[in-house]
Amino acid sequence: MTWLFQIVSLLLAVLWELQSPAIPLCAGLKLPLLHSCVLYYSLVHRRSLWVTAAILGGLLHGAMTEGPVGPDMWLLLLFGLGASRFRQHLVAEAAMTGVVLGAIWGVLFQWCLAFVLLRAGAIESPGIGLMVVRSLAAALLGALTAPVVFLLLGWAEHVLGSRDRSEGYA
Amino acid sequence: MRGRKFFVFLLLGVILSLPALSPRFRNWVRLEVRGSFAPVQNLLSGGEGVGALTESLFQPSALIERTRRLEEQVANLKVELNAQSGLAGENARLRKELGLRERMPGRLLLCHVTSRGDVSGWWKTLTIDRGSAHGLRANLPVITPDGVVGRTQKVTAYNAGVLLLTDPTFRLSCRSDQSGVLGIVQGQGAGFGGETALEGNFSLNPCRLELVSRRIPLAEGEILVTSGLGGVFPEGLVVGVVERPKLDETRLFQTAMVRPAVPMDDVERIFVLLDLPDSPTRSGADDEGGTP
Repeated sequence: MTWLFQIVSLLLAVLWELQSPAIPLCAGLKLPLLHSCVLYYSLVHRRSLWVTAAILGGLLHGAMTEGPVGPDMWLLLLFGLGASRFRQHLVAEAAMTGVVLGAIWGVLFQWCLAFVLLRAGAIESPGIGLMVVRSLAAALLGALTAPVVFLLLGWAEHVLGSRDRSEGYA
Repeated sequence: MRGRKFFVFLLLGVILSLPALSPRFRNWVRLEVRGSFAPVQNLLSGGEGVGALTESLFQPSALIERTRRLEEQVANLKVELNAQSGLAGENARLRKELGLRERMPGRLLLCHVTSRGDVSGWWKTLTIDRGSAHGLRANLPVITPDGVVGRTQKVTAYNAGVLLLTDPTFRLSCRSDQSGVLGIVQGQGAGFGGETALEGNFSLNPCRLELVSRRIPLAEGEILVTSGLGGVFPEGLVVGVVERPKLDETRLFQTAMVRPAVPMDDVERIFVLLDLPDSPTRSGADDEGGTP
């Protein structure tokens, strides 16, 4: 049930993200629903689940962009690993956790993906101005989206009873 | 239990090794993933999905088909008129001198926009509700009656991505409709919605005209049309309007900002030019492996 819910939630997240409009004031970025889902699984669930979430999320994210498929998976795995390392010290369901980690995750992902895409020759040098705008926008959108996604996923898992008793946070 | 674990690890191994595999295989993975989302996206967008379903409840199917054909016909005529009026002076001279008759090549296929922008925000793209099942392939011109929108890429069976004119990786050979001077229009990556406050602060513009010879001065407000030299777009499609022309840093060429003829954030219905006369560049340009 947990696996099924995870897959469905990731698919819904990417579909919703695709259909949502790009926000002109935020440098054309969209609400990071997929990343927020992966962050949630990294903080809340056991290793096999968050690793699968990171890989599936990365695959979906990569396939829906014009860049190479693959780097997104590695980045999400790396970030997921980082988030899971700190889970013992965090209250994952607290709104502030979502706000802070969502913002940090958004900024780091922007810079890392830009670096990877630049190295792969998939994009042209964006310039520091655009990167600053994108970082601010990613932080803002991440901080706004992650707590809401945490709340929704937490509520849905509670209703469906799909979270293992052994899981959760300290 | 062991079988499930083995399957999961096998799947993870295959997926994790993706970056090391060939671009062709990765492109295949991308098209399969995108293709699987196409029906739901088309349904959600309301273009060929919910909208068409609702319409069909109240209108006979023949009427819907007729409306669609008429829309295509009107667009064809508008494009033809646009091209002819934009090139009227030059056309008259060419007709007189060479006896050529200007006409729009190819056939127009009406498509609806199902989503805007990719999830990373790095590329300026649209997704449309038609794919290889409707005759689309990569690198076909995408236009509206007002002018150029972009070109197709990453085509699946039932949807296709469109790289917009405003994307930084998009380059298009153009010429001024007034002076005939040639140049390259390149996207600058400004987001949907035109120049927003943030983008304006960082001097981002939708497009830039580059590599224009300084011998013939560019004027503000000149209309740019496709030159037909790139091999993908036919000649005479309106691209945009010249703004703020000046000499570039080398002082060897002129440069200018370009306001696209088509407002990319508003476009809902677009047309793909099909059945264009084949050229070596066009057939060679299909390198995306986009056609399944």
